Parts: sequence; structure tokens; C-alpha cells
Amino acid sequence: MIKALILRRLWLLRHRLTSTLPLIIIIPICFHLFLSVVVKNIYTYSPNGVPIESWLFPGIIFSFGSLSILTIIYRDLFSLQINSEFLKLLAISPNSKFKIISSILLSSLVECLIYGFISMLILTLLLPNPFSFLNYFTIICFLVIYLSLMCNLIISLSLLIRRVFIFLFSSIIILQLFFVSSNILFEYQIYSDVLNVIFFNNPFSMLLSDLRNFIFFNQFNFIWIIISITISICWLGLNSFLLKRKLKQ
Amino acid sequence: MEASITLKKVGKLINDKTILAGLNFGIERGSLVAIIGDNEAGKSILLKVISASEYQEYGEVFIDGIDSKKRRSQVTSKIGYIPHELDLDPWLTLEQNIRFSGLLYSINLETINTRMVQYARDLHIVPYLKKMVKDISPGIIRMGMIIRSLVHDPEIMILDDPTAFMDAESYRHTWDLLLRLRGEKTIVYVSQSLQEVESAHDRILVLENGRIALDGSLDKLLGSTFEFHQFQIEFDSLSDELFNKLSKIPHVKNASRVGHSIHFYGRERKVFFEVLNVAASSIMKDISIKKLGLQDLMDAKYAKDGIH
Repeated sequence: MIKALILRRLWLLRHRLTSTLPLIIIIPICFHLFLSVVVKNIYTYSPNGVPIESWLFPGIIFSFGSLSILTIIYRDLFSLQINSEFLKLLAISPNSKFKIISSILLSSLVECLIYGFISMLILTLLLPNPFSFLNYFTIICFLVIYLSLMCNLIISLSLLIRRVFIFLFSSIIILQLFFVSSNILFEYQIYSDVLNVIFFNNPFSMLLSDLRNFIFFNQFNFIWIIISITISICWLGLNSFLLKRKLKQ
Repeated sequence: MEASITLKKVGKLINDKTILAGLNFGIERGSLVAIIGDNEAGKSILLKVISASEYQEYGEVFIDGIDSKKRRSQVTSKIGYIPHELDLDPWLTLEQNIRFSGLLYSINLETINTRMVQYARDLHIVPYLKKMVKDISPGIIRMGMIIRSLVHDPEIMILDDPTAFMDAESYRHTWDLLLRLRGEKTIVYVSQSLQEVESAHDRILVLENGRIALDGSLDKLLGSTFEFHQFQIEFDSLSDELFNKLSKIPHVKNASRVGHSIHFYGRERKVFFEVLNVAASSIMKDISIKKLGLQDLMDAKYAKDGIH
């Protein structure tokens, strides 16, 4: 089943290459121009003394990955044209709900990683001091775990919400909260103590925090990686249940 | 013969409304079964329940003796289902849609391609295989959906209005293929076209408010319900007196008047001669006798008056 979904994603990508490729190139450049360059005028270094452009780099890749996964899941599970028909086709095939959800997640991850890889290449060209190969490899590994969490979140939303407006509104609000409030892009605790605890102590933020600790300070912490992978697997189970409920099976 | 599909007291509710009510029937292996009924009769839901696309709230569905709820993946691999809606991905080509479906059933690409081309030749749609679905007419998409449902070589085909949107030629090609598969595969389909059902069936199920109202072949249904003919005589001038006189002839059933024409039903053709004798002095412009068909059966059934 995973082969079918990955091939389908590649076919779709091939048909939309002329419209997708410019976006994959332009969006990371926009992130760099409107974020890194602007923030650099205010802060040259992060609170930990890392050059701000390098500090923002993983966050930009993760943010771009989050946007990509939102569009992919939206198309497959929510688009008005295909909407539930795609799910129904999967549902009448001899595959379990868990397998369906994990295959959707994996195939989306593959496409997202392609986008993420291209955006990394482009942003590297704009960085004054590129990272080492090991650091790039670590970013990709963390990106996989982060995107599997994000993909689960978007799948849950698409299975729970029926109206397009509410789906898009809630997805954008959640992504915005992640981008602006948690330490995915900035590590400044400007909210009340309660909100700061929520924004900075969730798997999404902690994963990025661990990644930065590794690539900038060589400190490696397994705990949040293991917690995130465990949450992701449990979330797959929850999404399988939601799918079963949605399909009345 | 061995049962391919068996339903035992199957009931389905949607928002507390009963859509299917205690259905009990079996379908023989290799047979061609048509399901008809008015809107909201539960035809499409019945197909969804048989294909395990949706589960029933009550009762059991067995496919080749296997419980569709308990061993779902075994059951779904035996079924090729075509929903009523056009559900191919518009941003993929026809062949990519078909390949994708085949891969979901773990069929290798080579086998998928062989079967796809073979069926596409049968349906005369080979030139459309490489076209994007968004650029193809609904009738061709429908044929693509038929190929998609066949590509994993199912034993049972469940088709919801298989020839919807098709022109006459596509319709003929589709039925040529389906009739060739009859015997090899069990085919259950829903159709709004009574002519289609009359010409292609081993058995007809008439669904009414989620229940089987009639069940059998067309001859059996018409024979058991009424062995009537429909008569029509157009007069130059049909007076009320003449109409009343003709209506009261003992074997004339359900007489009705449209302009200067009288329509009535009769069990035997001799009724016609009795009418002619009574009306001999009036000028007649046209006469016709028609054996009853499915449409008359449905008209009588849903008019709730029948032929008395």
C-alpha cells in the first residue's frame, strides 16, 4: 500500500512540477528575506551567542515542512474535489485503518522531505557559514520526527472537522502559534508563565530545542526524541480510530 | 447453486432513520442481479453494505461464506466496487488512477498493466488511458472506473449505476464486457434505467423503503403479479357514454381516458375483441396492444393501486 501512495505522490508531483518547483524555491527564499534578514537587523546573535541566521535555519526548514505537510494532507483528505472519495477508495481496499493512516503519513513525509531537502540546499547557499554534513543529516532526522507529529496533527484535524473554513482557520492558527509563540523560530519567552510552559514544553518545541543543542552545542538528549516517536505512534492509533469512525466502518 | 453473497437480517440506520430493514436474501455465484427502486429506497446503501464500504448496524453479510465485518480484508479483496459518484483523481491520468487502485490490492504493476490494456481494448478507451481525468468526459471516466474495479480480478462486482453518463456506443461496449463476465463473476448492480434492467438480468430485486418488495426474473415478476396486456384505442370522438360502456365490460381493468383515447389492461387478448364489439359503431383511428414491462410493473406498484 505504501508503494501505491508514494507512486501516487510522485505522479502528482510530476504533473504539478512547473507550479510546485517555483514555490519550493521561492518560499524558503521569502522566509530568509522576511525573517533572517529582518531579524538580523535587530539581533545579530541568538541569546545563546549563535549567529542569528544559523540559529533560524532549522526553524525555517521545520516551518516550511509544516506548511508543505498542511497542503499535502489538505489535498488528500480535505480538498473539495476529492475529499472523502480518496478515503473511500482506500477504505474498500484490503488494508487496515492503521495501515492506511501510516501509509498516508509515510507517503506525505517522503514528499515533504523532498521539499525540505530542496529548501535546505537553497537556504544553505544564503547562509554565511554552512553546517557540517553531520549537522545536515541530524536536521533531516529531526525533521522526519517533527513532521510525523505535525502530519498526525493535521490528519486529526482533517478527520475531525468537516467544514473547509474551520479546517483552514484552525490549521493556520495552530501553525502560527507554533511559528511565533514556541521556540521553533524565536526563543524569547514573552508570554505569561502558564503560556510559556505550554508553548515551550511540547514535543514540537522540545524537538527543535534538542536539535539546536546538538548542532550548536554538541549536547545530545534522547528523551524528547523517544517521547516524540512514542506520541507519534500512539497518535497513529488515535487517527486510525477517527478514520474508522468517519468511514462508519 | 452456491451462494456468493448472503444477507441475514441486515439493518442499517442513518441518523435514526431506517434505511435497510431486516434484509434476508442470497445471491448465487456467477449470477447477474439488478436492484431497482425509487429514490431513497436504500439501493446505494445496500451496495455499500454488501461491498463492506459501510457497515450495517444489525445482521450479517457473508461473502463466499466469510463474515464481512469479522474478516474484512479477506472480503474486500474479493469485491470490485463502483460507487455512484465519479471518484477518480482528476489530477492523475486514467491509467495512473487504475494502477494506483491495483497497487492498493497488492497486484504487481505488470499484471495491472496487462489487465488494464485488455479491458481498455474491450471498452474501446485505450486512447484515453494517458489523458488526465479532468480532461475526459464522464462517460469515459465511468468506463475507467469499471476497469479500476476489475484490475484486481474480483469474484464479485458491485456496480452503482454502471452506465451512468454513457452514450449509446459506450453503453453497448460496457454491457458487452459485463455480459461476457457474467457466469465467471457475480455481478450486482443498481440502475435507474428500467430498459437496461429488462435487457440484462438473471434476477431483479425491487427495493421499497429498505425492504425487498419483489424478487425474481422479469417474467416471474410479471407472471406472478399480473399476466396483463396493455391496450389502447384512439377514437375519432370518444363520448362519456361510450367510455363508461367500455369501462364496465367485465374483463377490462383500470380503464383510463386521455383525450379521445381509452387505455385499459386485460389478462387475455379476447378482452380486446369484446371491446371492439361494443365500440364497433364508433370510428377508430388507431389501436395498439403491448405486453407489460418493468415500467408498467413499477408504475402499478408505486401508484399503489395495482391492476384490479
